[in-house]
Amino acid sequence: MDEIEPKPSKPSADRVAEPSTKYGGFQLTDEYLSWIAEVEALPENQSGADKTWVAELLHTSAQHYARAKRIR
Amino acid sequence: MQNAFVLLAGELDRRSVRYVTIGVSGANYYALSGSTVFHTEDRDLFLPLDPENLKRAWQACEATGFDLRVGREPLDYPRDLWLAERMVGHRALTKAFGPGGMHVDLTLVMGDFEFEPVWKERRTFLDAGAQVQVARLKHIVDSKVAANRPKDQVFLETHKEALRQLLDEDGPLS
Repeated sequence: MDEIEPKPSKPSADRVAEPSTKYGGFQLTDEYLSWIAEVEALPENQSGADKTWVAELLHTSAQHYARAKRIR
Repeated sequence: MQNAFVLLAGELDRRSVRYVTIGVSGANYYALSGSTVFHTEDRDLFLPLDPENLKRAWQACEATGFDLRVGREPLDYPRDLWLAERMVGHRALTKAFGPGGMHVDLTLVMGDFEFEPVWKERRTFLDAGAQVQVARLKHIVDSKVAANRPKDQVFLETHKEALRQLLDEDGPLS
C-alpha cells in the first residue's frame, strides 16, 4: 500500500495554531527615556506654564461623548 | 465655572499644603497636543509623611466641598492631628469625592519614591489661574513602571507610542 503523502500545511492555519507571544511587561527603553527628557525640556513644560487647555480639552471631550446616542 | 480640582488646588496653595500631582492626571500636564492627553476622572496627589500637612490637606478638601473617605467609610471625626498621625503611620489613602464627580486620591505612597526628591524637582503649572504642583514626567513614568498594573502597562505603551509619533516620526520639537 502506498504511503499517503502529507498535505502541505496551510500557513494561515499554522499561524492560528502558534502559541501567542506572551506580553512580557513594559520595557523602559533608552528611546522612550530620551523622548521624556525632550518633552520635559520644552519651554511650555517649565514651571509657570499655563496648562488650562488640558482640562478644557478633557471637558470638551467628555461632553462630546456624553451626547453620543446609539442609532442602531 | 471653575472645576472642582482647580478650586481645591487654590485652597491647597492657600493652606501651604505640600503635594505633587502624579499618575495619568500628572502626565497630562506635560501633554503637547490632544494625542498626548489621556482621559481620566481622577487626580492622584502624593503627600509627604507629615501629619500636619495631611490635616491641612483634609481641611482644604472640606473647604471646597469634597467628602473624605477611607475605603468605603467616611473619614472619622474629629479630623485632627491624632487621626492624621494614625493615617500617616499606616500610609493610608484618603479618598476625596468632590462636586461634579471629581475624585481625588491623597496618597502617601508613590512606589519606592520618597517625597522630598519628587517635591524638589516638581513643576508648578497654572490651571485656570490656580497653581498646581506636578511631579516630573520621568518620576511619574518610573512609578508606573514600578507599579506595573495592567492599567499602568496600557498607559505606558500608549504614551510611548504617542511620543514616538510626535517626536520620532515628525522630528524633534523646537
